[in-house]
Amino acid sequence: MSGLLAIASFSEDAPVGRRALYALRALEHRGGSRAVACFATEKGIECSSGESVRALSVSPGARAVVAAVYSSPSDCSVTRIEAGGEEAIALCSRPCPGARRAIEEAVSEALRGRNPVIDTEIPSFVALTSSGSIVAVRDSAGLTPLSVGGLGFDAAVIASETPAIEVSGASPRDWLRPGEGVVVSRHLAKRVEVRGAARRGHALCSFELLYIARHDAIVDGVPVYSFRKMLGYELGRVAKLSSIDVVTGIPETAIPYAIGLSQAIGKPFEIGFVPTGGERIRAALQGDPLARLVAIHMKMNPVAKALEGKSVALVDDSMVTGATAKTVSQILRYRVGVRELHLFIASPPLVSDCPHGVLSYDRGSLLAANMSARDAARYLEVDSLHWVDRSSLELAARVFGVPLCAKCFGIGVVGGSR
Amino acid sequence: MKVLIVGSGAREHALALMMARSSSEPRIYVASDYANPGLSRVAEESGGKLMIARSSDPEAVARVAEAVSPDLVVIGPEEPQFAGVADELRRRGFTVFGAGRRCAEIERSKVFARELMWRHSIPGRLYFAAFRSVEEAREFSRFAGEVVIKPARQAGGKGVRVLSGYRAYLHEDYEEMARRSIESVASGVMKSYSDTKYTVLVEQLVEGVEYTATLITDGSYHLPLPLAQDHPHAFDFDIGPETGGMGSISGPGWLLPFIERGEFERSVEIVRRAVEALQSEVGERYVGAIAGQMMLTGLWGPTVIEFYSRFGDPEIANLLPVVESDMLEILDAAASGRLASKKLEIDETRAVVVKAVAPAGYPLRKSLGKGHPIAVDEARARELGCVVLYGSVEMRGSEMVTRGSRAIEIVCTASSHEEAARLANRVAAECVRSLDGWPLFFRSDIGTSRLLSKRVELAQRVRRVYRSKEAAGTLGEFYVWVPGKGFFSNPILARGR
Repeated sequence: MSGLLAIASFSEDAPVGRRALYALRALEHRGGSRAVACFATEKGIECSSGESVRALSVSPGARAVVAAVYSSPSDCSVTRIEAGGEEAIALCSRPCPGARRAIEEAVSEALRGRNPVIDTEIPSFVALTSSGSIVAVRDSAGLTPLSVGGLGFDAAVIASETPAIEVSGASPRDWLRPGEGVVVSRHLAKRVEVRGAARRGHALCSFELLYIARHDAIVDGVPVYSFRKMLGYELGRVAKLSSIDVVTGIPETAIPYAIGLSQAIGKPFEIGFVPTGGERIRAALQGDPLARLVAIHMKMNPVAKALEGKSVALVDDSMVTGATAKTVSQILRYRVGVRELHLFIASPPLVSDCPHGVLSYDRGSLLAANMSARDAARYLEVDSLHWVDRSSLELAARVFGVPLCAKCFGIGVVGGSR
Repeated sequence: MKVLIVGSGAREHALALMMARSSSEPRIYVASDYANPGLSRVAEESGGKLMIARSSDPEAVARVAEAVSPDLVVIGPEEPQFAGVADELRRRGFTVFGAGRRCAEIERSKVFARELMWRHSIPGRLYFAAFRSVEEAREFSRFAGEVVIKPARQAGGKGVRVLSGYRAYLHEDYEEMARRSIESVASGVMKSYSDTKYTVLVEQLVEGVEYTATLITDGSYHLPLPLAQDHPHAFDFDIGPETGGMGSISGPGWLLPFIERGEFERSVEIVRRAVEALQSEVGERYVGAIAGQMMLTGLWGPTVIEFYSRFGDPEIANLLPVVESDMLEILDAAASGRLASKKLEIDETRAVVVKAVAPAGYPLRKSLGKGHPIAVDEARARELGCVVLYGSVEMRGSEMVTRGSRAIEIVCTASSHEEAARLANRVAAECVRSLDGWPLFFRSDIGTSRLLSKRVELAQRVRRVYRSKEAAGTLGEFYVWVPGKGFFSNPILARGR
C-alpha cells in the first residue's frame, strides 16, 4: 500500500516544504516502512528517503514537493523519467515496471496541456520535474484515489486522502475521477484526462473504504466514517444475535463498525482495548509475522473490567490470516475472562489474490480461503463468526453511489457507476 | 442618439452590444486605451467609431467627448472614475453614467469602504485594521492567525493574500507569509499609488460562497441586476492565484442556485444602504453602477468582501443574453435622474455561463502573456449560440495580439448551467487559438454540476451557522476572551490606525 502527496506553490511568498512533511504524516497509516520526498532545487531534483516521515528532510523553502509513504520496501516505486525534455521523478501508488514509458508519455503530454492517450494500465502517481512542475494522475482503473485541494490563492495540494490536504492547511476541493489528472506548473494549472484503451470500466478498491483510509477522510465523495458505520449496522442487522451484552472493536480502525453494530442491536459500545504508542500501527499491513505480532501486542491492552464475564461482540475490519483475531480472542478468553465471544468481520471473506496488485498477500495464507467456517470458529475460539455479506456490501456501495472492486472477496464489482 | 463609452475591455464590449440593440439606434463611440477589435466593430457598425485615448486621463477623454458631443457618456472601468473623468465630463455639461471620484472612493479605498460600513452600522461588515507603517502591520500580523492582507487601495486584485487554514504547527510559515505579503504590498503594489494614507489593510478572514450583487442607481432609485457568481481562482478546482475573474454564472432568473430570495434581498439592501451612507458623507449623488462583491458567510449571511463602483467584469456579460429591456434607455435614465420609471426585464428561463480565456502568465506574470497573436472563430461560436467578447487584445495591423490579461470572454446561454458550460468549453477549446503556440487557458469547471454542487453544499453549511447566530442575536459577532485582559467582540480592531 502507499500514500501519495504533491504540493506546488504559485507564489514565492508561500513555500511548502514544511506543509509537505506534515501532510505526509497524515498519510503514514497508508505505509509505515518507507517514506520518500523529492523537491526541485536550482541544481535539479533532490530526494530524501527513510523508514518514516520523521527521517525525511525537505527544504522549508521548497516550492514544489512530491512525496510518498509505502507499507513495505518492495511496494516502493520511485521512477526517474524524462518528460518534455526535462528530468522528472514519478512516485507511483504501486510498482508497475511495465508502465514506465506510459507514465513518461502521460507526464510529457500533461506538461504540454494535452490529454494523454495511453493504452497500457498505469497506477496512480505524482511526478515532479526539475523545473518544479508537478503532475498527478489517478489510475484509469480508478482503484487508488487522489484528492485535490487549494491553499488560498497560493498553492495546490494533491493527496491520496483528504486529511492530508487539511493537515497541510489547505481545503479539499474535489477528487480526481479515474484517469483524471492535474498538472501544476509555474504559470499554469490544468486538468487533464487520460484517454485510450486503458480507460475501460473502473472501480475503487474496496479496501480503501473498508480499511485503508482514515475515518476522517472523504474518499471519492464518500465519507469514510459513515460508510463504515453503515456496514457495522448491517452486520448487526443481519446477525440477529440476542445474547450479546456489549460491543467492542479492535482499535482503531474497527471502531466505527463497532459503533454501527452497537446501534443496530441496541447494546452498549465499550472501549475494549487501549493501544500503546502514538503511532497508528496497521497490523495486517505488516509483511513479517513477528512484526505483525509485535504490532498486535502493542495495540491490544484490554480494559478488562469492561468486558469480564460478558457476552462480547468483537468487531474487526478485516481478516487476512486471522493472526490478529486469534491473538485477541486469547486475550479476551484467558486474560479478561469473557463469557461468550462473537467475532464480526466488517468485510466479506477474503478468498482471492488481488488481480490488480494493489494488495499483496499470499492466497495460501488467507484464513477464509483455506478453512471452513466451522474450523475457523474452532481455531479462533469464538462462539460465532460473522462476515459482511455480499448484499450488505452492495447496499452500502449503492447508497453511497460508489463502484467498488470486490474481486478479492470473489464478488467482482458492486455499486453504482460514476 | 450618440453614446460615448469610456474603457477598453470586455465589460465595455458587453455594454456596447447591449446598448447597440436599443430602439434609439445609437451611434456608439468609444474612448479606448487600445484598438480593441470587438469595440471598434460595434462602434463602426453603429455608425460611430473607436478613438484611442488614455481612458484615465480626464483631459484626454474630455477632448474626445467634445469632438463627439454625445448625448450620453458611459464610463466602464474604475480607474477613470478614480481619476475624476466623470467629474470633468459633468463639469463640461455632459450626461454621464458612472461614479464621480468621490463616490468611487468606496472602491478605491478599502479602508474607507470598511469605515463607512462601521460608521453607518451596515450589516455584512468585517473587522479590520489599517496601517500606514509596514512595521506596525508586520508586528500586528505576527499573531493574527487567519486574516486577509490587502493593499489599502484597489489594485486589481494584486497583492491580496488569504492566510487561511492556520495551523499552529505551521506558525513559522504563516508568519513568514504575512511578513512577505506586507512587504510586497508596501514595496510593490502600493508603490505605484500615492493617493491613499494607508498602505496595508488586515481583515478578518471569512469563508463561504461568493457572489456579486449589482445595482444601477441614479442616487435615489435603485435597479438591482440578477445575481452572478464570479470565479476568482485562475484554474480548475478553485486553485491558483487570484484573477479579475475567470468566468461567471447567473440565472435562471434573479437568484443563483445556492442563494435564496431572502439573501438576495438582504444583499441588495446592504448595497443600497452603502450608497445612501456614501452620498450622505461625500455630499454627492451616486450615478452609475455599484456592485457588492458579496460572500455568504457563517458570520453574517450576506457579507461584503468589497465594493465595485462599476459593473463587474465578467459579471456584466451575464446580462447580455438575457436582458429584454432597452439597456441604453436604462443607463440614460440613471444618468439623468429618471430611473424611477424604469424596470429591468430579463428572460428568467435561461442560465448563463461566461468564461474567460487568458494567456499563460496571467495573472502573476502578465508580461509573459503579452504580444501573442491569436485567432477567434466567431462564426463557429455563433453557430453554437455563444457570443464572443474581446478583452485584453488589440489589433496590430491585421493581427490580433494579447495584452497579457483576460483576452476573450465567451458568453453562452442554455436552459441549464451544465449545458451552457458545455457550450462555453467547446467554444473556448475550439474557437480561440494561439497562433504562436503560446498556451491559452480557461476554466473547464465553471458552470458544471460538479462544481455547482460544491457551492450548494458550502452555502448550506454557512447558512446553518448564520441562522443560528441570527437566532442567538449574535449576527456579525465573534468573541475572543483573553484571560486577564478581558472579553472582546472584535478579533481585529474595527478602526483605522
